[in-house]
Amino acid sequence: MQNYNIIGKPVVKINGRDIVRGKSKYGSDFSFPGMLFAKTCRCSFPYAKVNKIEISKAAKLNGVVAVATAKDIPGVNLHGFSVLDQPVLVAEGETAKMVGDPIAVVAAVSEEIAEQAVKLIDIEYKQRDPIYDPEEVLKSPEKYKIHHTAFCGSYDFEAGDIKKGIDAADFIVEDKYNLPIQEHAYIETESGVAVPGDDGSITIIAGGQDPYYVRYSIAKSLGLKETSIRCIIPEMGGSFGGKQQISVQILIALLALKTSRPVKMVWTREESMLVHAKRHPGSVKHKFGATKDGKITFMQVEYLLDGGAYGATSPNVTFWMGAHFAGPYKIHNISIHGKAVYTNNPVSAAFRSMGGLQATLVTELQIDRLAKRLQMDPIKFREINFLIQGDKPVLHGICLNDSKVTVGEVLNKALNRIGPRHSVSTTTRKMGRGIALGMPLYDVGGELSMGLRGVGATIEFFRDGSVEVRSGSVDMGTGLNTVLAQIAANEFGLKVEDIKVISADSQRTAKMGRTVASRGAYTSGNAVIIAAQELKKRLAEVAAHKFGSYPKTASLVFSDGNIYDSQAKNKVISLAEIADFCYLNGINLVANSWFIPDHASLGHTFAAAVIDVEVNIETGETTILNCVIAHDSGRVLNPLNAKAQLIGAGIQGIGYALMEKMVVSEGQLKTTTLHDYLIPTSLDIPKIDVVFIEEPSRTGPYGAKGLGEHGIFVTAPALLNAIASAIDRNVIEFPTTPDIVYRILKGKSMN
Amino acid sequence: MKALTKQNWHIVLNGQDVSREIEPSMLLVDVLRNEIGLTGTKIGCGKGDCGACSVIVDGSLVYSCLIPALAVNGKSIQTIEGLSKDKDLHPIQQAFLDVGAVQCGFCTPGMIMAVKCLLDKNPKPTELDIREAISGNLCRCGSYSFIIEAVNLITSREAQHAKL
Repeated sequence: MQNYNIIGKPVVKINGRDIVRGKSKYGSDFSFPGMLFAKTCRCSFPYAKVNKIEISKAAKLNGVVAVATAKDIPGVNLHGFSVLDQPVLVAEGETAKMVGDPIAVVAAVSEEIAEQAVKLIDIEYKQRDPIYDPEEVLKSPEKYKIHHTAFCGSYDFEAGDIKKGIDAADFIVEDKYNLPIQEHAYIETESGVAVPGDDGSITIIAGGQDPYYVRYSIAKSLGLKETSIRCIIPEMGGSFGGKQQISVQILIALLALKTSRPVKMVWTREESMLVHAKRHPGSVKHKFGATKDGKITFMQVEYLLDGGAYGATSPNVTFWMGAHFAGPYKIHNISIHGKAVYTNNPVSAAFRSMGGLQATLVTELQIDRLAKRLQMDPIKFREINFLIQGDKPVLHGICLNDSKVTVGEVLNKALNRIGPRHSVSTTTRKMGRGIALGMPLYDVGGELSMGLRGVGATIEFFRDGSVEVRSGSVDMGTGLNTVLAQIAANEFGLKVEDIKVISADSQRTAKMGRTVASRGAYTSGNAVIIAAQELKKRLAEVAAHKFGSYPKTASLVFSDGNIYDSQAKNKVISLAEIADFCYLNGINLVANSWFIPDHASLGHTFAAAVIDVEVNIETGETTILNCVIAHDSGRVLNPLNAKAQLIGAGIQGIGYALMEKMVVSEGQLKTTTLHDYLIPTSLDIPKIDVVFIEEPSRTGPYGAKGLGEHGIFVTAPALLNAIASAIDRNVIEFPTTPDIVYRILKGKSMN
Repeated sequence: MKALTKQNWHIVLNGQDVSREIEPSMLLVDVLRNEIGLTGTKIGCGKGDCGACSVIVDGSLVYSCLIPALAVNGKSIQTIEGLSKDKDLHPIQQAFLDVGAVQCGFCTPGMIMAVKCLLDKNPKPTELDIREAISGNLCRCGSYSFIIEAVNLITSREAQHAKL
């Protein structure tokens, strides 16, 4: 029975007090007695064989306690989320494949000494001919492969008859879009501490999105049993997919075990920007057409992604991108083929939406262009082609019947909220409105990704009636732990403050796969409900005994920390009393759950964005006047969290489309600071309005759906469509920095 | 490299006298975090780009990652830890929580100090005043509009309080 007193309420973050007082500890905030500081010696070349590593000078420096190379790695000298091909430390005789590859690590009594020691390490390289252009790799994969294969991702999907679709089209739009890199730019760089135990065990405290993956990787590389490794994910300063991969964890574990002392590693901003995997750059050839009445007859897409030096999560991104091109549209004749290839560029991997943003963006830009060719209103053109309830989805077992919301409804809500346009264009300032729609998918069943299937939660009542929820999911700033506390509090009739949440501690919490793909609240939330209901059954039975009404428990209600009999007002017993009784009478106060959805693996939502812009055609500058995001969220569990997630993702999408430019030249990252790589500031983004459409999901916890990534799918294309409309040009190149807008203005007009 | 000679250093930190012996090369943020153990002030870039290290020195907002500690010898410094007394939160901290302006929280200490600096000088800021005051603080989670809402909530609560 759900009274919804807490669900759907703007409950303040349970860890909020500590954060605002500066008491929360992030990876770089931990200190332990005798702690050493680690720095990494990195490869300066994009593709070079390491002939010799000379560490003796570094090792002799006063204050240096240890220098480690690949020789110190007893197990597998590789890591990688979906592809095991990235070296922990490049060994002598092996080849580094990107600038920044780690070759040696130093542990010293201070960061400064560690840095000096790194400079004293001499590496003898034999440079090889690097390959930077994915198109060249695709043309000659055997010649240019830098691993045993040239490919780190592949996606192929065909349905219907493309030729028939092309023949049936009266108008076709075809173009090639270049996808820029995007840097996660989380304000906290990769950091953590490894603490060795007296018994040969090791504890790692470092940001990441999956403590079990980290544990497994350390065990594999350092030749340890997983039972001697504990991975704790502390408070994190943002991740957005960027901290999924191994960063500091194996190296600090290695040094901690070697020195028998705690070891801390904190990446500098430059190091972080250089080394960690970023959003895939690449290109998309997108061709589609419609009849003159506006019915889309086919879509044909070929895309090529630059996976960079290592596989990381390229297979996942390649799939996820392909899965999103069709969007919320009915397209019977469809051909989507994509590949990711290895190059000696910096590695690419997951970033909020896993490729879904790029696919949605290209399709939405193309739709506006085709609408213009058809001389049809872009909204009407979309409406004619919407998927509706009961439609067989284009791809992959998506359950379109999870709720009754239609994509048209979501678009209308966004349009109603933003209202009519007020500003009028002048000769130098052009106004434009752009819309974009998406059908973001979220992976709850984990069938498509290894290791995601099965999500556990544990709830324990202590003898005094206090409650602990233990979940393997990671609250990386999303407020997930708060939502889990709300769910438990709602189930047991307690206050949120009564629930303690322990999360992402491999020694204490149940496995949940990784916290990705907007699946955290959906899967862990369901897991907590299942565990709660099992425990409630036991507690209610005890209460029924006490009330003399056993085995009847149907009239029992959990509320205000008590169990009441709704049919006998004088019958009330506190949960604390019941817990004490259970403890003393052998009734198990712990419930473990294991959630696997019994339906299609992928959940879906609809999202829409409408953006109004003003473009100064003398300077090329774009000002965003208004932005609304509408989202089919199912039931919103916590409006503070949900709004923040949609808006935050929306802003990252705006950044991608408008201003975030990463420059890589000959494998070298040129933009390595936050003043070269510009992310939106308070002066760049207006207030963004969010509309939730709360038609409950049939399967989500209390009807909730995933939403963490979904804002990013639609703001980027809506912005570009708005600019295109304002300046009456096709926008193919982005980010639309002023120089690019200026260049577009000099080009052809839309046709 | 020889360690440079340590020098006497004294500041008033969050209202308390604090003395240390520090090297001239030490940055204020490192002294706060490592020597004194106040890790609420964060390092996001080490270059004065992100504002996560913002503290208040003699009433002005300063990037502590750019300042050698000796440069503030004798001055009065306020960090995030100095805002709340015992159990009560400062109104700025409470407002941030109430409107949901805290996502990952890493930019939060710097943002709160920027807001404090603003409100100390300008108790009734316009939206543009607020945006400019926090324009040197990056938030990748995208909480800017929530922070503006928090400041508006503070000023309206102040007005309520003043009426009583």
